[in-house]
Parts: sequence; C-alpha cells; structure tokens
Amino acid sequence: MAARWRQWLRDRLSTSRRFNRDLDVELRAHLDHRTEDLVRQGLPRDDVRERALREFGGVERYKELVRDERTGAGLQALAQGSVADLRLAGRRLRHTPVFTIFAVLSLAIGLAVTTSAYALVASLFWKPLPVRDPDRLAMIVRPASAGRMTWRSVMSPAEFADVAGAQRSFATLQATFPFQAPMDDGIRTEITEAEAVTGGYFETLGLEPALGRLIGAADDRAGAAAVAVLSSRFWRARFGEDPEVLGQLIRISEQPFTIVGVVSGAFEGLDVVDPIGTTVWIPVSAAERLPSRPARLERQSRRLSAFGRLATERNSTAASAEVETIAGQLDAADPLKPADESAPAARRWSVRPMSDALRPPEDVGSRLGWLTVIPIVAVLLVACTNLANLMLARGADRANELAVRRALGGSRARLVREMLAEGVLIAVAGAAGAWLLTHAMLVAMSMELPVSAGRLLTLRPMLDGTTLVVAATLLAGSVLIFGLLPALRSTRSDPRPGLATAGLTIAGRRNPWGPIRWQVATAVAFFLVAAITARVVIDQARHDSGIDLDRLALGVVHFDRQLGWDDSSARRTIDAILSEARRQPGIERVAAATGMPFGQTMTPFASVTTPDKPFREGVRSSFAYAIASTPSLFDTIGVSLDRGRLFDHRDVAGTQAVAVVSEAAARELFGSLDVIGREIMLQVWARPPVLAATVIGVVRDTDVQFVRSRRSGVVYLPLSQYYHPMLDLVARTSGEPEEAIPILRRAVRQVDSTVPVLTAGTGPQVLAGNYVLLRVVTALVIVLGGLTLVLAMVGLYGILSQVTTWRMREFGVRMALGATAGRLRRMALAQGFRPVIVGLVIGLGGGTLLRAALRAYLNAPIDLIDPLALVFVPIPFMVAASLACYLPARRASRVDPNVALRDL
Amino acid sequence: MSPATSLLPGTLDMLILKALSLGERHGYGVLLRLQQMTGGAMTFEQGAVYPALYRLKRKRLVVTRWGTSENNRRARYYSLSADGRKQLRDETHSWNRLVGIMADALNRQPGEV
Repeated sequence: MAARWRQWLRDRLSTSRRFNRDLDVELRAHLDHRTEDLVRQGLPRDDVRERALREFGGVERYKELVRDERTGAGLQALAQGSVADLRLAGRRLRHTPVFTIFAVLSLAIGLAVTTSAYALVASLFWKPLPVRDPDRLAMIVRPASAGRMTWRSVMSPAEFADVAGAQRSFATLQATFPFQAPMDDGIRTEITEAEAVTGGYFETLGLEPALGRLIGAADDRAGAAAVAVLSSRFWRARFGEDPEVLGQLIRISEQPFTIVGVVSGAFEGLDVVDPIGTTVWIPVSAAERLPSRPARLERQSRRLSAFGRLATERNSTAASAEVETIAGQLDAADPLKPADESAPAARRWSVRPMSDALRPPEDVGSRLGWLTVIPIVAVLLVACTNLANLMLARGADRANELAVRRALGGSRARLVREMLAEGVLIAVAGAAGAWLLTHAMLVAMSMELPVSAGRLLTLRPMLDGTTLVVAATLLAGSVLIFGLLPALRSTRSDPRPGLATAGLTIAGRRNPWGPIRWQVATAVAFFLVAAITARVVIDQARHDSGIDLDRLALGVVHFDRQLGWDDSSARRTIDAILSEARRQPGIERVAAATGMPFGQTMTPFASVTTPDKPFREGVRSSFAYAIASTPSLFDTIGVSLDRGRLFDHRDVAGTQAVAVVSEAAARELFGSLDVIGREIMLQVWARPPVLAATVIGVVRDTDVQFVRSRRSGVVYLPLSQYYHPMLDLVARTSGEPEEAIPILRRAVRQVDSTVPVLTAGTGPQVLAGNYVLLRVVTALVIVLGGLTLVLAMVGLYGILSQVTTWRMREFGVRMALGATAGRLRRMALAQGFRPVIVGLVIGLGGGTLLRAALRAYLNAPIDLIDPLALVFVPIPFMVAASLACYLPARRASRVDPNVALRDL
Repeated sequence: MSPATSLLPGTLDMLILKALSLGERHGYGVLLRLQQMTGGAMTFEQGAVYPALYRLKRKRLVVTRWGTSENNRRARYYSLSADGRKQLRDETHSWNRLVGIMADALNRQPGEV
C-alpha cells in the first residue's frame, strides 16, 4: 500500500515536470518561429530576438498564467465536487440520526470536557508567570529544609540595602515581602495575600497597568502616600472591572491605602505555587507602618525575597558568586546570632534563574495536578475509541453499498471522498458543539471558594491553546482515520469479496468482536488508572489530623493595643465572650487560644530547651509551637490527654508556671514520655525573655504547622499566665459548623461591638490548607470518572447493538432452520458477552500494569490492586452489554423467517 | 485605419476556435491566423493565446498532438474537437444575435424610441 502511494506521488510530480517541459518547448518554438519570420522580413538579427520577446509579452508570466489555469481548474473542480460531497454526506447523516448524534456528542463532550477540565487544573496548579523576558530574571535563594533552596524569607531590609548597594551583577535588584493581612475593601473584610514591594518591582518584571498606574520609585520613599495596586483577578471579581475604583480607599490591617492602579494580565505575584495569587501590592515603605505582627516589616526580620534583572553579559552563576562574596563580607562585619532552628548560622545566599527558583517542590500537592490530568486523558481516549468504533461500524454498514458501486465502475477516489465528507461534517458539528459546551463549562467553573484562613480562591479557568489543539487533533483524527479506513479497505481493487460477505465484516475483517474487546479494555484500563487519583484525593481528605476538624468553627479576634486594649481589659472581655458563646445552642464547647497546632500562619513558635541545656549562642535548641489557651481548648478541639493533667482554673497568674506538651515535644526534649514534673525553658518567637514552666501533662500528637506534617512538637501554656492580643476563638458545634460562625460573631458583638472578628470559618476552611483544592479536584475526578464510564457504556451499546442488527439475516436463517426465539436470544447474549468479558479481563490486567508503572514513576503511595474499583468497574459494562445484546436479539428473533430468507 | 481596439474578455477564445476551424495549427500559426482574421486591428500580447489555448483544451473543445513544424521544430498542434465545432457554431450564433440587438438599440434615433 505504501508503494502505491509513492507511485501516485511520483506520477503527480512527473506530470507536473512533463507539463512544464512541454510548455517550455512550445513557447520556445513560438519564439523561434517569430524570430525567423522577422529575419525573413529583413530585420537585423540582433534586434529580432528582442523584438520577438517584446511582442510576446512576459514569457514567464504567460507560463504562470497557463499553470494557473491548470491549478485553478483543478481547484475549481475540487471545490464543486466537495460542496456536492458535503451536501450528500449531510443527507446521509440525517438519515441515520442515532449514529450522527452519538458521534457528534462523543466528539463534543470529549473535546469540551478535556479542555475545560485541563483549564481548571492548570489554573489551580500551574500558574504562568507573565513577566517580560523571564530568562534575564534571577532570584536570591537560601537553603531550606531537605536540601532544597527557597526564595522566601531570604534577607532583612538592612541586608537588602547592603546587598543592593554592593552588587554589580544585577542591573536592578528588587525586594518583595509577601504577607497576609485583613483587608477591608468597603464591602467585607477578609484575610488576603499581599506583597510589599520596592519601587522598581513592577518595572523590573516588565508589567503594565491595566488601569491607572503601578507602584514606582516615588512611592517607595519614607513619607510617601500609602498607595495600593490590585490584581486583575481581584478587580474583576470584587469590583467588576469598574474604572471608578481608582482613588478609592481600602484598609489593610486597618491602615488606609489609596488604590492607584490595576496590574494588567494574569500576573498574581511570583508565588506560582499558591493557587491564591497576590491580591494587592503596597510599597515596602508603607508596609513598615502596618501595626500588627507579622505584617510589620521590622528592620531586622528576614522576611524579604530578592530578585532582579541580570545586567547584560552577566549570568546567574556570576551573580551567585558575587552574592556569596557579599554574604561573606556581611557575615564578617555583622555576624548572625543563631538563636533557634529557623535562623541559620551564616548567610548562605546564592542566585538562581527565576524559573528554577520558583519551581514548586516535588510533593503530593503539585503531584496532584498531574494525577488529575490522568482522568482527563482517560475521558479523551475513551471518546476517541468511541468515535473510532462508530466510524468503523458505519464503514462496515456501507461496505455492501460501496462494493456494489465499485463493481459498477465507480471511482475509488470518489467513494473515499464521500466517506471523508461525512467525517468532516461530524468533526465540524462536534467542534461547534464543543465550543458551546466549553464556554458553558468554563463559565460554570468560575466561582469564588472559601479557602483556609478565610481567604477566597477565585477560580477562573482560562482556555489553553495547546490542550485544545491536542484534544481536537486526537478526536478529529479518530473520526477521519477510522472513517477512511473502512472506505479504503472496502474500495480495494477487487470488489467481489466485499459483495459476498458484506454485513459480517468490519473494515474488511470477518471478526467484529475485535473492536469491542478493544473498546472495553481501554475504558477499563483507564478507569482503573483514574481510580488512583480518586483514591489519593479521598485519602488526603480523610486524613486524621489529630483534632476534630469537622465540627469546629473559628474566629480570630484582635485586641489591638493601639486601640486601647491591655492585658486585663482583654482578659475580661475574653471571659465574657466565652461564657456568652457557651450559652448559645449549637455550641458545645468553646475556647480561646493564641494559635492552633496547624493551619494558622500566625501561631507563635518558640525555641524550647531544658534547664540542663540553657540557651546559648551557636547552640541549636528545639523548636515547637507555643499555644497559650484557656483550659477548655483540649476538649474543644479534641486533643486527648496521655498522662498527667491539663491546666485548669487553679493555674492562674502568680501560681506555678505550668505547661502541657505534646508527645513529640516530650520525646524531643526528654527522650521519653515520662516527663511530668520536669522543667522546660522557652523563648517565644525565639527571643527573650526566657520563660520557665513545669510540665504537668502530655497530650496526643496532632499535625503541626501544616496538615500531614508532624515534624515539631507543641507546648500548651495557660492563657491566664501568658497573654497575646490576637486570639482564636474556637467552638465545637453540635450541628453544622457553618451555622456556628454567625453565633460566634454575635457573641463577640454583644459583649463588645468594637472588637473586630477578623477571620471566621469552619475548621476545614480555616485550618486545612488546600482543603478546598482537594474538594474541587475530588469533584472533578468523580465527574470525569463517571463520564468515562458513561461514554464507554454508550459506545459499547452502540457497537454491540449494531453488530447484533447485522446478524438479523443470520438469525432469520437460524429460525427458519428451527431455532427457537429463546435460544437465539441466549446465543446473542452469550456471543456478545464474550468479547466484553475478554475486554474486561484485558483491561483489568492492563490497568493494573499501568498502575504499577505510575507507582514507580510518581513515587506515590498507590495500591497495586484497588478492590473497590475492581468490583465496581465491570458492572456498567455488563449492564450495557446485556442491553445491547438482548434488545436487538429480541427484535431479530421476532422477524418472520420468510422475510429473513427473502433478503438472502 | 481605426485605432487598435482591445479584446473584450472571452472573445479571444471564440476567435481562436474560429481560427482553428480553418485547420490544425500550432500556437504561432493560430496567432498569425488571428492577425489575418482581424486585419491587425486587435492588439494583444502574443503570449495571451497560450492560456486561452490551454483553457480550450481543458474544456475539451480542442485536442492537441505533437508534431514537427515547417522549419523542423517540435511544436504542439491544436485542432477543433467535435464539441469545439459545436461550441463555435452556437457562440457565433449567440454573438451575432447579441450584436444585432445591441446595434439596433444603440443606433435608434431619438424619434424612434
């Protein structure tokens, strides 16, 4: 077959060559004739040739015109023929509405679901960095845990000033300080992601304003007005792209900022890992004015990130060397004081290209994105196999007709073109349907979801060109290739075999069961693989964090010292709030604490040690979270006591300083759990004063700092002995925690309406990190998995019923020969089931192999065999197969044998 | 002699058909015939006959063969096919009719309208 194509190509090419050669000869003959005529008329030989050419007009031009006539004619014929083909194809498709609808729907759904699901996943996990010339941007990084480098919290403002002044490798060095703070936009207050940036930040990144202006050098001076720039997404979601937003005031940590502009495009800060991007940018000089910790950028706190555009002819390696030198110089002049684990002994800075520095860590979080792509691919491939089988079946249907037409002398090209026209129409209709569906789905998936700590995740998936092209190519390819295949096969030179056996063959082969097996196998295999994602996601959702997340409601209150609150007035108010809240129906228990073991970024940490290993410079001490709370905390969040006792009303200011530690803390400090009565010393925020306390109890471990992380211990102190102005109110509810949130707010307001509730949410929302992300992904995966199954079932039904219909004649003959209707139905069922069962077995085996491969590649905890999937998956296929075989068989068995025989 | 007139589009094809009706010719020969037929009053570049000839050949109004010319050059000879003859007859008839009507209409005196 390939030889034939080559020959055809050669013929076409040689025809062109011959044509051009002949034309050449002809025109040259003309010119020669003319020349001779002119010579005979007596003109001088030299002028004659020129004159002949002039009279002719441009020789090459006329050659082109002749060639144009040739191709133009060809195209014209093709166009006319094509229009006729398409019209005919349209009519044929209308006559078989079931097939057409199945095919168009498979294509439309496959394409729409694939592209919009991928858009959603990409918008959550893989965010672009739309900056100018990213290859010339580099960041200063420092070592973080587990041998990785991080760009976060690299230096302090003082260090930044030193480095910026001394360095030469960067044309410009900028700093940014990402933080979270409550933002009041006039409508509501919630905690948002913000960045405090130096004056050249936007310019270095090459960003433009969509509205107004961006932060510039003039804004980053002491005494400059407090201005703010918004992200496009926030402007769209909260202000509806209203240009009047310029000049409006927003309050960040209750400080007023004037909105001066909106960033254009999809830029949401440099942190491409966080699905919630930066909402607002303010100048660094303004951030230093923010009152509340940790937003306050203190001179020595090392919370800045630094990046810059490399000077021409410098690369990041050279920059790295220079920065390391500067770091060494700084260490010599102003050595660091290592007080705790989070402060290193020396400044270990280096420079990396920005794309490297920002790459997300290889954890399950970012893996989740890839895992979610698998079910998307499954849907796409099942849709493709559906289409392929549909087109093959249709081809087989027409095998008879095509054979007859060939026998009567019809040209092969013509017949192939007809089949192609059908494929094109289906592809176009499917694409149109996909267009509508995709837009509808993208709109449906654009929403705002509450995420941890009361932030809002704005989902706004954007269509990705690459996905669209890939998916469309695969699907259209399936339609066209599998539409053409039977046409090409059945229009082969010798039409007789087609005539004889038409109706029992698919694509020229006698065995129609092959495609069925194949369809079932691929769908099952991919479903098994998609089940991996479902499992991972469900596991993540079901993880036991050590506290009773699902029945908690939280609110954060801030007794701002600048507003006149002090220790005693705050305590009185807290007690009043707690008793008020306790009285409400629906709230079982309530407590106040300075933080939670995980999920709250503002929980204080402390360096802890024992009296025999006092704090000393250069000596590492242990690191734990330090939570001061009312005694009811443990009960409220569900942390149980292992030994000793919890603090209670006896432990007040003035009595012995006590502490309750978690198991991990006990083991880290003392090496055992037998620590009741031992002394510990701690420095909250790793700074003096040193506090001493006696351990009176040990509680069970919880996740610490993040969900699933249990690296540190927790030390609990009585709130009566330690105080902090920002407190979490935690309530355990008997009903839905959602309903407890307004109750908490009301309790606070009733006691004192001036106390703001900064963040409020349910346990999972506030504490469980990418909880909502998981939910979105879970929902997506379930929908995709279901769709895969439905598509596969539909495809299976289509082709099986088609095959059974073909066998009507055979059934008629059998009945004429004495078979009973019941026997026929049973036979149809059995024969139909066999390929399905075989397909199931192949699919289950193949799927298990794929799972094994994925497990090795992704290094994720995937079970080789998922019993639930194994049991559940075959069911829809069996159901579809039963219906597909039984119903047509019943119809066939009702046919009068005489009618069937007549058809022979 | 009246000033040289340029061809109306489509008329070249008709003229070529007529030229060939008087016998088989190669491209240059067709051109000479055309000049004879029009008495030199029509101007067109000589090369223009070739796209027209190809068109006629595509429409199967003329057929071609390769031969040797009077001065021993290899040249392509064109002759009318049966369809070509018919086409010439029909088009001449239509043309004459059209010309007659147009001349009549354009030459009417004011009083006759």
